[in-house]
Amino acid sequence: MLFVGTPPVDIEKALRASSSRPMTVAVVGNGREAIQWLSKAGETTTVRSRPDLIVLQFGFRSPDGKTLLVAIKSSPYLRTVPVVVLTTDDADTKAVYEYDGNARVAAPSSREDYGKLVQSIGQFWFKWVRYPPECLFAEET
Amino acid sequence: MTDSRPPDISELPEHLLESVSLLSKKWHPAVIRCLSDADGLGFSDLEERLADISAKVLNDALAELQEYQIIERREIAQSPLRVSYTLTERGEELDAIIGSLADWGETHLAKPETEQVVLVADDNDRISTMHTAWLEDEYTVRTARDGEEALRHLDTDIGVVVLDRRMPGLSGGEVLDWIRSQRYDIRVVMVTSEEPTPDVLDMAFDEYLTKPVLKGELKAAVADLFERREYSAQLQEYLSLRSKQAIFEVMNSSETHAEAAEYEQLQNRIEALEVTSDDIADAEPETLERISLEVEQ
Repeated sequence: MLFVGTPPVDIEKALRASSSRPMTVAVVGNGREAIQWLSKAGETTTVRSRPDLIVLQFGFRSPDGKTLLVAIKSSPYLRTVPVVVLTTDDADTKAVYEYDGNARVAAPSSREDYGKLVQSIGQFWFKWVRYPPECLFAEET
Repeated sequence: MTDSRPPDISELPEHLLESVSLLSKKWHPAVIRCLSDADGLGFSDLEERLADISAKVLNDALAELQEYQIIERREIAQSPLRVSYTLTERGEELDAIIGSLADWGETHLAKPETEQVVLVADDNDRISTMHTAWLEDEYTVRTARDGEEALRHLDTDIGVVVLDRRMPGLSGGEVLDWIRSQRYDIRVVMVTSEEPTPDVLDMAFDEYLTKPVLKGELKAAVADLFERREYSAQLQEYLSLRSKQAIFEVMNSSETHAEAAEYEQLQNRIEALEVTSDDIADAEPETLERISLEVEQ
């Protein structure tokens, strides 16, 4: 999973509590680092480095959350990766869905609630949601 | 009443079926078209004009067309024997019909030309406006004033990106890495105001132009890259590497050790592609000339 933004809690720890499966979490602080991280992850020919979930905590800059969301959802490689947007601003909600974001979630203000939310997100996307057995991105050879 | 049989389902008259079947043969209409604007052609003239036809197939086609009295064979010299084929009167009638069929096909069957989209990304307003204006006659052009805007404009409709190397925020190199890593089928021409440095060899662009870019130069590069999108991945990579090699060759020749090593690495990558001269022959001559590459035998 890739988390973009500045989380108030330890994302990896919160996710561990929701799943027994091994999970790799990368946290990057801004849009530029996210683009660099995703470019690097997409460079290899194996799809193993493709993230299974991207969480954007809006508020980061250069490029901002909406630009990053558009970039991910236009990308032939990443467009099927679910993107969850955490934001406190209700005005963002419409844009998130218009840009094909998979869910907009209100970011809680307390650390405790935030931790629980991350746990629930992990539970939903990694435990309850079903995917086809093969990867959603098929490399053309 | 005995006549209760359903009407014959093939209501097409026999002679219509016969003429359609005659026209459906691959080479018949082509032979007729060839003869229509000539005062008689010999066997070898026809062979030459119908580049892919074999002598046997041409021979058979000519024999059948003569049988139907669509063409006429005349011996115009005895020794050596020279023959000339012309359309008969009924052949000319048929030629007119083939002409109408061709027009009909062009109107109704020709695939609509797909829109060619170019993205111009340059933080210098004057340059991005100018480059956009140059390309607008022929392409749909999107303009971005920095790397972030370029990201917002990127999608799979775009065929070619004209990318400024130095931009504030996301640089041209970062946008290029994104385009490649996300598997976009996009050819990229990198535009820069600096002299090329050895590190350009690590960048996955297809072409490299140094500012100021001339109008003809930009238009030729973009047209060439749209052409190259049709080539095989192997040939595309080969041309991109050769293009880098060409940059290297014009770089200041005070060659350092590091540059020599880079060059050798480039050479190895080119050789590893194992492109044959047959593969290269698929490329447009203009493309090869642009990257100063002659087909080696």
